[in-house]
Amino acid sequence: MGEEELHQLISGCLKQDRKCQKLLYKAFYGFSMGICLRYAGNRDEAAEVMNQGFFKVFTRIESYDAAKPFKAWLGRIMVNTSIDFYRSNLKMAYADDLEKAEHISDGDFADKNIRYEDILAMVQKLPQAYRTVFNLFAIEGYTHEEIAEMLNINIGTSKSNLHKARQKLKVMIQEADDMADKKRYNSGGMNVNSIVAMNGTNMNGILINKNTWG
Amino acid sequence: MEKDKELDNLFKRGFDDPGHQPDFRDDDWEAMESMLDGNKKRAGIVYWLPILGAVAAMLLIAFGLWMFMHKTPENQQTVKNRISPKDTSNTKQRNPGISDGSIQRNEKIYASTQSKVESAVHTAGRDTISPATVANNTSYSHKGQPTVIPSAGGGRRDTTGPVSEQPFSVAQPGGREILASISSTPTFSSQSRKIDTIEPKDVQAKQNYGDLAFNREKANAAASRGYKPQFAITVLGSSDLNGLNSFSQSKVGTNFGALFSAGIFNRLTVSIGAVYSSKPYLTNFDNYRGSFKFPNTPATVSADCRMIDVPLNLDYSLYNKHRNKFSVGTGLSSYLMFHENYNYSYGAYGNGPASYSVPSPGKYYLSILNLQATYQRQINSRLGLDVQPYVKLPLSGVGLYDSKLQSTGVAVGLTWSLGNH
Repeated sequence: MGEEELHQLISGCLKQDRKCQKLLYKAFYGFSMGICLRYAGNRDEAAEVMNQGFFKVFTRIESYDAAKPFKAWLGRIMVNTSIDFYRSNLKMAYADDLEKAEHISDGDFADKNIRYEDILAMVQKLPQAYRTVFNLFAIEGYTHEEIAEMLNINIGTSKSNLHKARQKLKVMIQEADDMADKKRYNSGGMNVNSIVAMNGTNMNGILINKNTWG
Repeated sequence: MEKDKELDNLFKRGFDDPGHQPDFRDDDWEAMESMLDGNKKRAGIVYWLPILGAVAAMLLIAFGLWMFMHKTPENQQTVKNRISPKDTSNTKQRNPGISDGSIQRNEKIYASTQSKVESAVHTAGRDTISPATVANNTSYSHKGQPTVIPSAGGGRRDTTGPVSEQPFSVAQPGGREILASISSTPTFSSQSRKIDTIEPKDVQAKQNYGDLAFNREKANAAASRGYKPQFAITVLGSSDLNGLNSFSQSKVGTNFGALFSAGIFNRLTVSIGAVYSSKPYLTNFDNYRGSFKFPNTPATVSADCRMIDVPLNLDYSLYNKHRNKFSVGTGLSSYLMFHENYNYSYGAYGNGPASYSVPSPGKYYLSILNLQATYQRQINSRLGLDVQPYVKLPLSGVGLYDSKLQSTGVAVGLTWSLGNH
């Protein structure tokens, strides 16, 4: 979408023009949903949060500074709405069994590639508090000080949650890796696209394409 | 540390891949549209509420002014008569209570009737006024008592004074009484030319000069008493039980706030206020309206809602004597929620989210019916202690679970009366 077209849509949204609202919504649906999915537990939840984010956009569009990138403004609104949505859950303490993580050796992640659906499923499987800190730190690039302030938690809690999130993700990657190996072995060593379902209650299919892993 | 960064980058790469953005779903836009439409409707209500409120306030003010204006001529007349230059010093000397602003309402009523009587007497010296014909049950409970004093101009001046010191009347030959102040200040009447008389048929010299009014002014006196506006501010606190269909599984909430009330007729009072309410309650999962899919249906849903309750009530006074007032009332409340949190417990049926906090709690306008009975005990002329049992019944559901939330409790408050007494 060109700059001019975007400005026209924003002007229409300022007049609460429903057509322009829909066009803007459609244009940034993928981008916004992509953010909300990372913070949410599933797609329905993400859609609810995203709509609340867009609701803020449409009702406060006059506060948007046209000199700044719209996408960045929209992204911040989506992140903030996601945080607000789960704020009550963010301080919950988890007594997770991280024993498994102690036996996980740090693999080589530098050249690994995991499908979008798979990494999304892994992140969504994280407890809310870990997921939020991991998203803010690893994906959005905030510091622990900023995260602590945003979430109204201690810096120590932020660091601890990030550590636990990473450990859990490593376990998930390792388990997926093992399952993929097993499948491949069972199938007679044929190099097929092994589809491995992670064990987990809410795993709506974590699919790892072994072939794409370096 | 380096490995951690690699792990972070692995996920960042995956999420940043623009080729994997979720596809558009029409359902989501429809939900968005209904959200926007809902806002429009809500905005409509929000837009109209202040206007309606302003109109109601203007009507109230206009009504109050009208009542004051309706009463003003009589008061002015009375005051004018009282502070007539010729008699001012005497009047003040005898009756310090008259000009110090502490005249009670009943006296004013008397005074207003008195001024009319006065003019009647003044214009026709032949008039004979008979207290015996007085049927007004106005109770003059104050120490001051009215007497009628002839002035140089032939008019009278009303005044008051302690009963014990000032006999009300003096018997005159012919069975008549001179209505005059006869106590220690007789000098004022040196220029009196004419003494008006009152038939002594049934005048009672009791301390409470009740029943003293005049037949021809009875209606006016009653009318002026009825239009006296009363404004008051009440601060109250209460503890109440909150439940859905019954109070068997209710939880205890707390409320505190303030009310502003205006007496619009003799017995009717309109009040509006803002009350902070904390309402914990157990609700039903059946009416859940959210889009989040619970993996297991929670066994119980425990709600913690905090809101500003804006009641608009009308109270009718059933009994108002001495220092006690009893009234009953009804009205509508709006719940403006600002905190709405739910805790889920699953029992033996599995696991799921432990709690959920609604990001934008709703506002429920005029959705609760208030029923209350109020007992007020007057502590002094301005301050009253209130005890108010009440019930709040739902006209529509509130919250994420469309809960038909009802409350009952007892409020205790203090009412401070504004304006004249």
